[in-house]
Amino acid sequence: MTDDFPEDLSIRLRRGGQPADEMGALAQQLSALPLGALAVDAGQDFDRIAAVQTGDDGRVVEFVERALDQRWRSRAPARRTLRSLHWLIAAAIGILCGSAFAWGGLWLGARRASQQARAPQVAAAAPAAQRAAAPRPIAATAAAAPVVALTGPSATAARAPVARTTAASAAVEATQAAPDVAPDAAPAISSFPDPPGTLTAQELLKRANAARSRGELTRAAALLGELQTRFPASGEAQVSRVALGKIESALGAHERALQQFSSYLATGGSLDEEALAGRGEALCALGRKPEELSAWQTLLTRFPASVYARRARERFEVLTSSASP
Amino acid sequence: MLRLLHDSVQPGRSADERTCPPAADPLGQLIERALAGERSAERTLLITVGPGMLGVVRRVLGARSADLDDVCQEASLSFLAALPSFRGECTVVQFASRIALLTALGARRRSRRRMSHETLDEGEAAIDLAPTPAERVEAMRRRAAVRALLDELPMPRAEALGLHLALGYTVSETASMMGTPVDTVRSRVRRGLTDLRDRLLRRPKLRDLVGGKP
Repeated sequence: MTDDFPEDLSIRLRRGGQPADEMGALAQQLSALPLGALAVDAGQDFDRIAAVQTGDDGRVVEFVERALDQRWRSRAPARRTLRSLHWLIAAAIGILCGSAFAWGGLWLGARRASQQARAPQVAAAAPAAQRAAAPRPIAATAAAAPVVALTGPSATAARAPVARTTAASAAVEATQAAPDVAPDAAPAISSFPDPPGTLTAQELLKRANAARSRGELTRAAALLGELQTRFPASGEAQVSRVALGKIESALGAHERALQQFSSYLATGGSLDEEALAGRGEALCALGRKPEELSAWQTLLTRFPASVYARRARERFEVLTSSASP
Repeated sequence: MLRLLHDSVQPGRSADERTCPPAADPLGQLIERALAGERSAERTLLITVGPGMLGVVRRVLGARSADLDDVCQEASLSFLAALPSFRGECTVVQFASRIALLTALGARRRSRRRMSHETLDEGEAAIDLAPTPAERVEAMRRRAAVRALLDELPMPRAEALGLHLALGYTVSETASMMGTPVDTVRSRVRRGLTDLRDRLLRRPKLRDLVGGKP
């Protein structure tokens, strides 16, 4: 660190990493500053509680997945609205073009008819010309309508001048076509279930976490089960064993919960503390006392300062006192 | 909060006011992809800065706060929302830390009405690595006093004090993270520490926590 501000002396002392004599000199300098000692003491108070704790990895994954889920859920309707807006604009352009062409056609037809009326030799052809100008596009509209509904906005705009004859018919088609097309164009993330077997391990874990946070435990368990079946060797599957164990416990399936926690502990990882606590609780629920005692003992040995230590000691005392004559 | 962030990273500030040169951040490419709407990049980015954000929120709310996960989630969302305003004056991790700090300070201020003035987080004493129980209790009280002060100070001063004292950033780092001149940061930090000392001295039970000369 190259900063020379007096305020930074406390930071240098907190960060450490310098020879002992330099640290001693630094402490001496700080003690001479009016607020130096307070800055060091208060700063170190915070440094000591910010160390990485057991289970932080899983915790980070969980809040990140929840945040992303929330972000993308809130984005989906916005995108859908945008697409609907595109459709409305395209439909409006279609209506304008269609009506312009229709008016143009009628005007040309009327002009031609009046010219023909002026020429006696072709007077009989006038009604035929009018029929050719008006009814034919109406038939074309009926034929083109399903195509418009299935194609994109650009196709709608391109077809409209040819197909549409009047503003009214175009408006009716537009209002009917738009709602049918928009939802398919931008499906909400959770609205349409994906075909089975298409999700990645990350997606499955994320969706399971989302389901769990919504309280849909059975759905979360199914997703985690699928994750473990399809990606048994993945990191996500390993993490999911603790999550699924907790869910199975909550659902009262303690035997299956025990399997999950034991399976996680067979390999081990950053969630060992949670897995050991979960295993102890599952064995407690199953009434398998000797194994439960062993589970709590392991937890207390490996993680004496665990948040589960109090519960472990409670159970340990109960189990040892009931075992003694 | 986002307005504060936006205001403080205005590109129009003079170069002299900036002390942190633009760094070639390894997360820079991820940011570009995240800004393009790539979900996997957003996820990787958050997983990378997440542990740091968790540490920051832990310092501000308390290591055993029940709101940790919710505030971290909120901070993650704010981080992604603020990415377009990131101009590389500091590292991505520092940027994320600052957002986590502001989010956590905001959460504390919102919930201040339902909390006692200086809430002691006794669960923290269990994980505090201070050598003796007496020191752990002292530390717990000092942390409570700092947090209460952060709740009361105007936000720019609370932010400077939080970054420097609670998070351990140097004056220069704090200045580059806030987009504020170093002299302003120094002044805010000094005033914050003076406020803290006065706060502790006002209470007979806390006078011993001041340390050094009053």
